Amino acid sequence: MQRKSKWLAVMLAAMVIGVTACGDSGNGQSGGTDAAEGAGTASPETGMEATSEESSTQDAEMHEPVTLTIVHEHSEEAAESIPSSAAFRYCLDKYKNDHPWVTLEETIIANSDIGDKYLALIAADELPDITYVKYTWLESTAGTGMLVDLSDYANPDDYYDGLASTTWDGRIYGMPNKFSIYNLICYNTELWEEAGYDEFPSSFEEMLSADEKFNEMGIDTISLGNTAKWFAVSYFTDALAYNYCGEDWVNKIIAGDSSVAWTDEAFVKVMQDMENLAGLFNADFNMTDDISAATMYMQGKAASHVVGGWGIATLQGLSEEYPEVWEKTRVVLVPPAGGAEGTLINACGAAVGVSSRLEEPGKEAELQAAIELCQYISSQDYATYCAEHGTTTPVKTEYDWTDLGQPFVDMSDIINETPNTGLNFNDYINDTVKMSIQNETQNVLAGATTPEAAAANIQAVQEQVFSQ
Amino acid sequence: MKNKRTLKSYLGTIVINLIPALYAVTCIFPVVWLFYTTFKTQPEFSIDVMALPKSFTNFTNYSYVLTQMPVVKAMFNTLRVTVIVLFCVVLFSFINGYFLARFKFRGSRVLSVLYMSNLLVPIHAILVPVYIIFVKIGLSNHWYSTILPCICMELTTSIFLVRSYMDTIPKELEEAASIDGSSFTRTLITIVLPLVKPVLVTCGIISFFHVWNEFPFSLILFSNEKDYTLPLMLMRFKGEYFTDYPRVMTSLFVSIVPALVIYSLFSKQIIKGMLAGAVKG
Amino acid sequence: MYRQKRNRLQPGKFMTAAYLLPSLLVYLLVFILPVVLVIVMSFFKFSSIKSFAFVGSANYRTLLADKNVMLALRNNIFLVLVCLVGQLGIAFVLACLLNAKRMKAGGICRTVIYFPVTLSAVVIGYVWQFIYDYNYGLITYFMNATGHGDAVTPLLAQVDRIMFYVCIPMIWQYVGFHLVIMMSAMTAIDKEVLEVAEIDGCNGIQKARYIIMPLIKPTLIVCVFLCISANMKAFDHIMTLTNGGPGYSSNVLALYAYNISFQQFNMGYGSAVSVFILVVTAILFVISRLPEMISQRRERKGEK
Repeated sequence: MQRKSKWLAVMLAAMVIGVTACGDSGNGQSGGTDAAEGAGTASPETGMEATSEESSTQDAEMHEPVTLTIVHEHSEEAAESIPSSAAFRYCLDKYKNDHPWVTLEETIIANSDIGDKYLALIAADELPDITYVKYTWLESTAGTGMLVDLSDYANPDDYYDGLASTTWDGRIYGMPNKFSIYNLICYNTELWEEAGYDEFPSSFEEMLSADEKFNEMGIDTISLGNTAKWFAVSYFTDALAYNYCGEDWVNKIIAGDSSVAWTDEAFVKVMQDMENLAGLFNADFNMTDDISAATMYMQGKAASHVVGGWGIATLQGLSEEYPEVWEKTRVVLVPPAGGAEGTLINACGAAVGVSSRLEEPGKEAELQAAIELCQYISSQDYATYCAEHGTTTPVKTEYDWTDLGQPFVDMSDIINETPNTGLNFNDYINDTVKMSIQNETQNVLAGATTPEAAAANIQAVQEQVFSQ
Repeated sequence: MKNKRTLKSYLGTIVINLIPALYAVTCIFPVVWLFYTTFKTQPEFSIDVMALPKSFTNFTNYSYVLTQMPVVKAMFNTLRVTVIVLFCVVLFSFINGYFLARFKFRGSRVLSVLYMSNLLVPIHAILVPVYIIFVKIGLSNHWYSTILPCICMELTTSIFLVRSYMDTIPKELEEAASIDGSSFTRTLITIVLPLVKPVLVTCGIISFFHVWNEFPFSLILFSNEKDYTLPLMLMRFKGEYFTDYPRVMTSLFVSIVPALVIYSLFSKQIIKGMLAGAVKG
Repeated sequence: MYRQKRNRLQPGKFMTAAYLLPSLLVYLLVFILPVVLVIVMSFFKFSSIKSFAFVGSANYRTLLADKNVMLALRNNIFLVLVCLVGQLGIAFVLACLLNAKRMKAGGICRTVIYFPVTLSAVVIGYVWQFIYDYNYGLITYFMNATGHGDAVTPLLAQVDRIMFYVCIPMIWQYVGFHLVIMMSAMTAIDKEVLEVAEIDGCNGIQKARYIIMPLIKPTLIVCVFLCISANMKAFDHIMTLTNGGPGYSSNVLALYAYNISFQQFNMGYGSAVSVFILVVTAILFVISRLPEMISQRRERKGEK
C-alpha cells in the first residue's frame, strides 16, 4: 500500500515535469504560429478596397518587427454563428496579410466574460495595445488618459452615429465596429391572417388587443426570451420611452439632467404598457433565452418573435429545420405607441481603440501599426462583409439584401424608412441606472411590482448616481 | 419469534441499502443525461430536451470540440496547476492542522482566525485586488499565476478538516515516540502522517475538483491562450445571443471525464485509507 | 511573568516558525493583503488605480439604505437555513446508513453520491435549468404523466417561491460533500462502542443520536461553518440558474456585489457590500456557536 502510493507520487511528479516541459516549449512558439496563420488565410472574397500586394512586400523590408496585444471576443466559434464576428476576423486576417511584420497576440474571451476581464484590465491600468472602447467606459478610460486620441484618424461622417459613442470631451477615442438595431418583430403572416389581420398592427395598442385572438387559438402572441434581462429593455422599454417621452427627454435623462425624472408621468405610462405587454408573451419568458424563444416561433407556437437585427440571421439559420415558417415571415418595426412616429433603436455597442501605453517614446512603430489595425477593423471592408452577410454595420454603407430573403429586405426597408432613431439604454445610460432599469422592467413584466413603484426605484438610483 | 425478528431485520437491511442507492441514482442521472445529449444536434435538442438522441453515432459535436480548440493542451494546463496546488494544500494543511490542533503558542489564535477568514470573503471581491497586486509584482499572465490564489482558497477548508480530525486522535503515540528519542520532524512524518491519511485524502479530493473547475482567477490572470485551463477554454461556446447546447454539453462532458476517471481511480485508495484508519490497534 | 505550560512534544519557536511561515507568507500576500485592499476600497469611489476618490462612509450609508441589499440578505439567510437542514440533515442520515454494518455497497454509493460535487456550478445550472424547463423539463413531464398537467407553471418565473426552487439544486449537489467529510470522521469511531450499544438494545436512530453525533461533533461544527460560509457566498449557481431574477427576487449578496463591481464599474460600493457579507457571515458563525457555548457554561456551573 505504501509502495503503491509512492509509485503514484512519482508518476504524478513525472507528469508535472513532463507537462511543464511541454508548456514551456509551447510558449515559445506562439509568435510564430500567429504569423503563419495570418499568411495562410484565404484572400478576401470581395473587397471594395484592393490592397496592393507589391507595396506590402516592399513595406515588409522597411519595417521593424512589431508585436501588438489585443483582447477580443471573436473566436472562430463565434464567427460561425455571428456575422459581425466573422467580419471582425476577416478584417484581422486581412491586416495580418498586409502587415507580415506585425505579430498579433490575441487573447480571445467569451462574450459573457469579456466585460469582467476588461474591468480588471482597466482597474489595474493594463489595457492591451488594441482595446475595446465602450461608451460607458469612457469616463474611466479616456477620462484618465488610458486611450490614444484618434480624432485625426477617424472621420465622423463615415459613421451612422457620427462617432457619438466614442467621443469624450470633444475628442474621439475609438472606431466603432459594432452596430445593432433592436426593436424589430418577425411575424408569421399565415397565423396573423387566421387571427384576422392582413398586416401587422400599426399601433402598439392594436398589437396589445391582438392577444385575445391568439389566446383563443392557443398560441402566444409574441415569443420572448428575457433571461438575460436586457432584451425586454432593448426591444420595448426603449422605444416606448421615445414614443411617450420624446428624444429630448431621453437625452436629458442620459445626461443626468435633473429637470427630467423617471417618475414623470410619461415614463410611468411606459411602465404601464410594459405591464400590459406581459400577457402577450410565452409563459416562461423570464426564464428562457432568446434562442429558445426563436425556436418556439419557428415551430409555430408563437405568432411573432421580437428580435434584433442579428436575430434575422439566427432565424434564417433555424429555417433549415423549419422552412415553412421562414417563408411566411415578414419583419416590421415594433409599432409605436401613443400615436408617435416609429423610432428605430440602435446602438454602436463596441469600438476599438489604442492604449496610451503606445504613446511612450520608442513605440512609434507600434503606435502606427495599432492605429492601422483599428482602421482595418472599422473600415469599408468590414461594412461590405457585414452587409453581404445580412448584418448591420456602423460604417455607412448600402444594404442590398434581396438575395437573402424577404425578411432581410424588410429589415433594410426599416433601416432606410424609419423616421426616427433612438439610442439603446443598455449601451448609453450609466451602468448603475441601466441595471436598475433592467431589473425593474423584469419585475414589472413578472407582475412583482407596480409601474409607479418601478419608476420610483429607478429614479432613486438615478438621483443617487448623479448626486455624487 | 425468531422468524419475525429475521423478517424485520431483513426489511431493515433493504431499507438501509435502498435509500442511499436511490439517492445515488439521482446523482448519476445528470451525467447520463449530459452524455446522451452530446449525441444530439441543436435542433434535435430544442425539440425535446430529455429525449434520447436519434442516433448514438452522431460524433459531430465531439469532432468539433476536440479539433477546433486545443482541448488537450488545456487539459494538461489544468492538470498541471491542479496537481501542484493539491500537493501544496495537502502539505500546508497537514502542518498547520497539526500545529493548531496540538499546540498552544503565541499567535496560534490569530493564525487560526486568519485562516478561517477565507470563509467570510466571496471570491469576486478579491479578484481585482489580487490582479492589481500580481501585475505590480509581475506574477500575472504566466502559466503558474493561478497556483497561489488556488492554494489560498483551499487552505481554509483543509486546515479545518485536518485540525478537527487531529482532535480525535490521542496523543499517546506521539508522546511515546518522543520519549523514545524521536525528533519532532521524524515523529511528524512517520507517526502522525499515516494516522491522518484519510482526512488528507478527503482534503485532496475536495481541493482537486475545486481547482479543476476554477474559473474566475483563471479568467483574470491568464492572457495567453497557451496557458488557458479547461473551464476557460470551454466557455467559448457560450454565444452572445444564443448557445448551441449540445455543443456546450459535449465540451462540459469532455472536461468532466478526465476528472471523474482520476477520481474513480483514487476512490479505491480512499476506501482503503478509511478502512485503515478505522482499525485501531 | 506568565509561563505557558508547554507540551513536551512542542518544538521550539524557531522550528515552529520554520514550519508555519511558508504557508503564512503565501496566505498573507495572496489573500489577507487583497482583503485589506477591499476594506480600504470600500471607503473610496474606485474605478481604476488611476481614478479613485475618498468618500468616507458614503458607500456604507448607501448600503444601509439600499433595499436590494436587504432583499439579497433575506435570500442568503433563507439559503443558509434551508441548506443547513437539507445538506447536513440528508448527509448525516446517509452517512449513518452507509456506515452501518448491513450496508452492502457503501463505498460505491459514497463515490457516486459525491459525483455532483465534482461538477462545476455551470453544469449544475444547465442540468437543473432543463429539469425546471417549462416546456420539456422533467418536472413538467412528471406532472403531465401524473395528470396534473394544468398545474404546470414556469417554476423559475415565480417570484415568491423562486428561492426555494433555487435551493434544491444546491442541496442536491452538496450532500455528497458533507457526506464524505462526515464519513471520514465516522471512521475514527471505535466499532466496539457501536457494537456494545447494539447489544444493549439501541436501535439505529438512538445510536445515531446519542453515540455517533456527539463523537463527531467537531466535524459537524466544521460542516456547519462550511455550509454557512458557502451559502453566504453563493454565486455561481444563482447566476447560472436565474441570474438573480426575475428582477431581484433571487438576488444574493455575492451576486449583487459582483454586479455592482463588474457591471457598474463601481468597485467602491461593491467592496462595501463584500465587507457586509464578511460581517454578516462572522455574526452567523458566532450565533452558530452559541448553543455550544451556553451548554459549556452550564456544565461548568454544574460542576461547581
